[in-house]
Amino acid sequence: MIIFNKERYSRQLPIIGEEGQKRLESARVLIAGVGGLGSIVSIYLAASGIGKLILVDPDIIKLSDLNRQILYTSKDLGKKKVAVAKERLQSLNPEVNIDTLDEHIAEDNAFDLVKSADIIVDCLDNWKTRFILDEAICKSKKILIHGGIEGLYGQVTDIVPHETLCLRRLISEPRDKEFVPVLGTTPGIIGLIQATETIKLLAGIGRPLINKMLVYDGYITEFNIIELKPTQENLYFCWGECHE
Amino acid sequence: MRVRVRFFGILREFVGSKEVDLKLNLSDPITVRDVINALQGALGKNVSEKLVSLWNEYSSLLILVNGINIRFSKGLDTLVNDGDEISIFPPGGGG
Repeated sequence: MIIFNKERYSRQLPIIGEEGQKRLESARVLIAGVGGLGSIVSIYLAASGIGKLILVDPDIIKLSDLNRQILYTSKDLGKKKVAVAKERLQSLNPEVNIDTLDEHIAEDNAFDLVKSADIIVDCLDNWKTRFILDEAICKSKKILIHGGIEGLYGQVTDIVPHETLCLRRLISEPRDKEFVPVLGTTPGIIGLIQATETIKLLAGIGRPLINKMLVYDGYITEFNIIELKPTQENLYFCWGECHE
Repeated sequence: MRVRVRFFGILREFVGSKEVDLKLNLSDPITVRDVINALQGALGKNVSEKLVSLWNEYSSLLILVNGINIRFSKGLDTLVNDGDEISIFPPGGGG
C-alpha cells in the first residue's frame, strides 16, 4: 500500500494530484551518472518523492568537480560519489529508497540496470557510455531522458520507444572530447529540465520533449526548440533492428 | 530558392550568428552541400570548410533538414527544397 506524506508534497499535490504523487512513489528511476547533471537531477527527484532512485557512477569526488556537482562539499574529496550522494539524498528525503552502484555502465551490466527502472536519466559525461546505455534502452524499450552540456550550451530531449528515434540514430555518434569546459550553472539548468521531464512523464502531466530537442544558449540566455521528425522507416529500424 | 540555416551550441561562437536566411540562385537539384558552400559567401570565416571538416572527420555535427538527421539519408548530398529549415548542431557531450 502506498502512503506518502501529504505535508511534504503539499506544494506539488495541486499540480500533479494524489494520483500523480502515487505514480512518483511507485516509480523506479535510474540516474546514470551523479556528476553535474546527476547532482541536480537526483536532488529534485528525491525531493519530489520518487519511490526508488538507482544511482550509478564509478567516480570519486575531485576538487575540479565542485564548481558544478552540488551534491558534494570540500569535505567529501576522495570519497565515492554514489555513497555521498545517497547520504545527502536520504537526509533530504528519507521516504525515498536509494540503490547505488559504483561501477561503469558497460555492455555486461547495462541491460540489467535499465531493466530494473521505469525511466532512465542520461547524466553521463561521454558519448561512448551513452551509446552502451542507448543499446540497452532499445532492447528493453524504456524511456530515456537525454541531457548533454558544453560550456554555456546544453540540450535535452526525451527518447520514447516507437515514438522517437533512439539516441544513436538521433544524434549519430559524436567523438568524445578529452576535456569539456563547463560553467557550473549549465548542468544546473539542463539537469532541472531533465528532472522536470522525468516528473512530467511519470505523473502524466504537461507535454514532454518528445520529438523536440530543447537547446540552451547561456551566452544570450535563450532556449530554442528543434522539431524532430522521425520517419516511420527510421522508427522501425531504431526499435526493431538497430541494435540487433 | 530560400532556406533558413540555424546554428546551435558552440558552433555559434565560430559562426558568429544564430541563423541566416539564404537565397540560392542555383538550378535544381540543390543539396545540403550546396547550402553549406553558400554559407561561405554569407558568413565568410571559412565556415563551409569548418562545417564539412566537422562533418567528415569527427561525426560531431548533427545536421537536420526539417528535423531529419541527414546522416541517415544521403548525408551532404541530401536534397533541399524551397522553404526548408536546416539546423546545424554539435551536441554537448559533457555531464
